Amino acid sequence: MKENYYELSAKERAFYLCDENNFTEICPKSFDFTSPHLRSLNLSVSENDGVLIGIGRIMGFKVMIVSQDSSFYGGSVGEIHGARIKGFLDSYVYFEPEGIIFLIDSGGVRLQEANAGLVGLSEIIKSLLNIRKKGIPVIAVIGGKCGAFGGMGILARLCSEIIITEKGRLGLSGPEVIETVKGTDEFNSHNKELILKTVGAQARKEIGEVNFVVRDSINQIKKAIVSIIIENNIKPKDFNEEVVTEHEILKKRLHIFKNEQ
Amino acid sequence: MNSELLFNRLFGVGNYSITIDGFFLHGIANVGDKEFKIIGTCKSVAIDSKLALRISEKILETIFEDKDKAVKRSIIFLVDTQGHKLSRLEEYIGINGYFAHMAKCIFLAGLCEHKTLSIVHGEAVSGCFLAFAMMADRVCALEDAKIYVMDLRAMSKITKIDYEKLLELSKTSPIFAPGVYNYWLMGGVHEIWFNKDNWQEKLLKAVDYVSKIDNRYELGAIRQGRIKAKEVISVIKSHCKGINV
Repeated sequence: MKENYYELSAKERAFYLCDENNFTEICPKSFDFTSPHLRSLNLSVSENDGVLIGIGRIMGFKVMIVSQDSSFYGGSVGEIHGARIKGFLDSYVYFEPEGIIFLIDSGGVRLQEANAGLVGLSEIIKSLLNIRKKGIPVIAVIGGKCGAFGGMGILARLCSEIIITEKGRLGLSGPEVIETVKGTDEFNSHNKELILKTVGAQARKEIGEVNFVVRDSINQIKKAIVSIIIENNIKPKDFNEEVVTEHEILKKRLHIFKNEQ
Repeated sequence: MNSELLFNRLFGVGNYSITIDGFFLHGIANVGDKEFKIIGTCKSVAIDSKLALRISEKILETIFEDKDKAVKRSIIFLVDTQGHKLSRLEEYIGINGYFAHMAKCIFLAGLCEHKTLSIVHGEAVSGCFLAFAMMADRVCALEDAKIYVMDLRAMSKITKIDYEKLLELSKTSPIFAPGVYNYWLMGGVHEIWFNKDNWQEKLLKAVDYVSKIDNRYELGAIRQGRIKAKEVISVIKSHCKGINV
């Protein structure tokens, strides 16, 4: 079995996270699901539009899994990509899962179909929050090539918990975007150390944006997922309480920074 | 449009008390027999973590103020922003977390029975349209507003598609080019308010139409902006329904 999450494909990640022979992919292809917008630009298309969905069990716990394929336009959210996720999330009622696992590997909205992607992402966010309201934990896993940026960086923080590997990165604007718009002085996208210090896993943990930093290992991620599900089964997170507590934490963080400056 | 003119047209002269504090605005307005809570931004500000937190704070305050009221006030978000602030420090602080928090607060207001409605009166760009304007249960935009993810020249640079080609395609396809009408076609904007309209009447009607049911993919299909989303959603759902686990 392969162990390094970073190197695995979207499919392998879902497959290896689940117990042996216990992952079922849903609608992998066989429909006209390719992006008409990419086709009209004469660009390559994919039968699942860059996102795999399916159900399985992790150490016996029933989960729904969304896995983004960063090799297809950086895991970006286009019209069909977004609709696949929304349709799947809204089907939680049929599965009654103990957790929804969101394997994020995406720079956000797909620019070639930006308007559809942005609205689609908004629909996903509302479906996700509606599921959270029912007490089902939605767990983000970040540790792929594209990290979680743009709208997906916002979505990650709307999940119940984030598990990030040492290779994961989480932010809103990627370093390249900031460099392009604001210049190298603001953010040098070739300075790997600076990137790690800003949006890398340890930096995210230190500032309080994530709780779980794990090694780049399927096993470690699995363990973290299970611990979150068990914790939630014992004491489900109360959404109202979470928002109020988070508000105080974010206020305090900003206060510290503004005083240091 | 300057703020006073906007408020006068939306709420009627003398019907509001709104404080403009830099780029942030908050207050109340009375239209018809209803009192609305007003929270918003102006002058196309770039929203940073601090401003996102101020917006969140006002929403939580409103929820708290109304918690014992039988009928909660509707919250109107007046949106005008060029997008989020691009800076390394903002990334380090966790601006995405502040944006997510703002989105959660708007969602929470809905859960606490406040109707939420956005009016895009200037610009609304990318992550700010996502985590602010579109989090409301109904989104209205003025005819002259600008909604987009990225302008075509920047898009051309990043996607490496010729600017001329993008420009030509944008004439026939609403899928990537900036524009309020394009977002209306996607279902992302529920209604466009034209300059000739009576915005006070529009506002009262829009508040009545606020619904927690997210039917935007259906609007996108009816308006033929998002031609595939509805079909894909329904195929996935029926597949999921048929699976035994």
